Amino acid sequence: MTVTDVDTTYEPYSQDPGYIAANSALIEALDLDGVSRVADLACGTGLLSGVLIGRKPTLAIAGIDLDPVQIGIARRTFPGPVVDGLDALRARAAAGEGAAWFNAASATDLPFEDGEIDLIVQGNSIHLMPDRPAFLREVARVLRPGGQYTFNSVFYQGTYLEGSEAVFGEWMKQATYVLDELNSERAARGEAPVKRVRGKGGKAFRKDWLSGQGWEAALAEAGLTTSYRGDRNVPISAEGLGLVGAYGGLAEVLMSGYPVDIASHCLMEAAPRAFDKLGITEVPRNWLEVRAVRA
Amino acid sequence: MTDMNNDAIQATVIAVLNDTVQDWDLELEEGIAANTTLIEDLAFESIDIVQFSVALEQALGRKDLPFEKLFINDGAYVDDVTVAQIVAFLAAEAQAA
Repeated sequence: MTVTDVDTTYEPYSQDPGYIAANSALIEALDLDGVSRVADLACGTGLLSGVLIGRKPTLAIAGIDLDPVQIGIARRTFPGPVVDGLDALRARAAAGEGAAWFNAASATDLPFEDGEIDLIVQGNSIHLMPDRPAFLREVARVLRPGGQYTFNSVFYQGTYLEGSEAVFGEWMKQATYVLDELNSERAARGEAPVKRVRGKGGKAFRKDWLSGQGWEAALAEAGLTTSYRGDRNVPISAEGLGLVGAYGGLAEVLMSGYPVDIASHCLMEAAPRAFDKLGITEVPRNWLEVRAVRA
Repeated sequence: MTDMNNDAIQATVIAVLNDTVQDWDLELEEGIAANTTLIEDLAFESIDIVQFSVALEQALGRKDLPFEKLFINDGAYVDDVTVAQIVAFLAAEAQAA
């Protein structure tokens, strides 16, 4: 595979069986009785929305994500009717008819009235919210009393199972070897090495991840009562890890300062090498799952 | 590495660090020493940690050093690491080898 062949959108990873299983489980566990108006925050390519409409075809789902590319994919691939505005979605909800509206916008400034939403779902993105208290207050604002909020995340204190950190370390090491090989090839062609622009990433180790208990406390501060919190062990295959690494949003963090397409290429190529070196076929990793209710 | 004393290990660590940061425009008044930290003093990003670890293995003629023991404590990443802590980690690994 050449560097230019790498798909750096979230779509390939969103089709990984492990990723789909983890997110489907989050939705399958929900009680959808009395639920018709749903918000899917940081919806990406719309995986959760698709599972939701599959479970209950009368849901009116507003999918919101900052990335217009992913919103475009969601609109094209959603397995149900898609409308082109919030008013149209509200009309569908009032008529008891299911549909989705996908909008490129921030999840921290929601376009809904106070108490308008019955259920908010959020797949593997809560850790990205820049101002957690403000974001959770916004979630509480748009939920009706008794409304549900559920999320999962693979970036929290408790995600690594004991002994598995070494696998992710080896993955990163192999990525640097792939980069070295690219630079050798460039040198052989008389080209300069891949240029890195420092200062584009945060300082190392500053992950600021919360624990499950930490999230529970943060939810309580916003007026949301946790009704369920658990860890789901979802093994990652070499292919799955490669697809995670190919996603540009992660690659630009893990290999900060390198061109995104090159970082994605290195991380994707590195995953099977790391698994081969360690003689493993999968690595376990926990997903945090939380369900909360607005008082 | 097994026959290196702590002074020799520290000299190697500092040499690798100097090589790593040589183009970074850092303002280090007294240069890199035992109490220099990777994050606060040298502004390491995640990929710098990895590339430094690989360079260190190459310089010491070791492979597969368990750097997670150095960088992860009780399931969470440490806040920072000093040169002295790196040297102590490498000395312990040399003894265990």
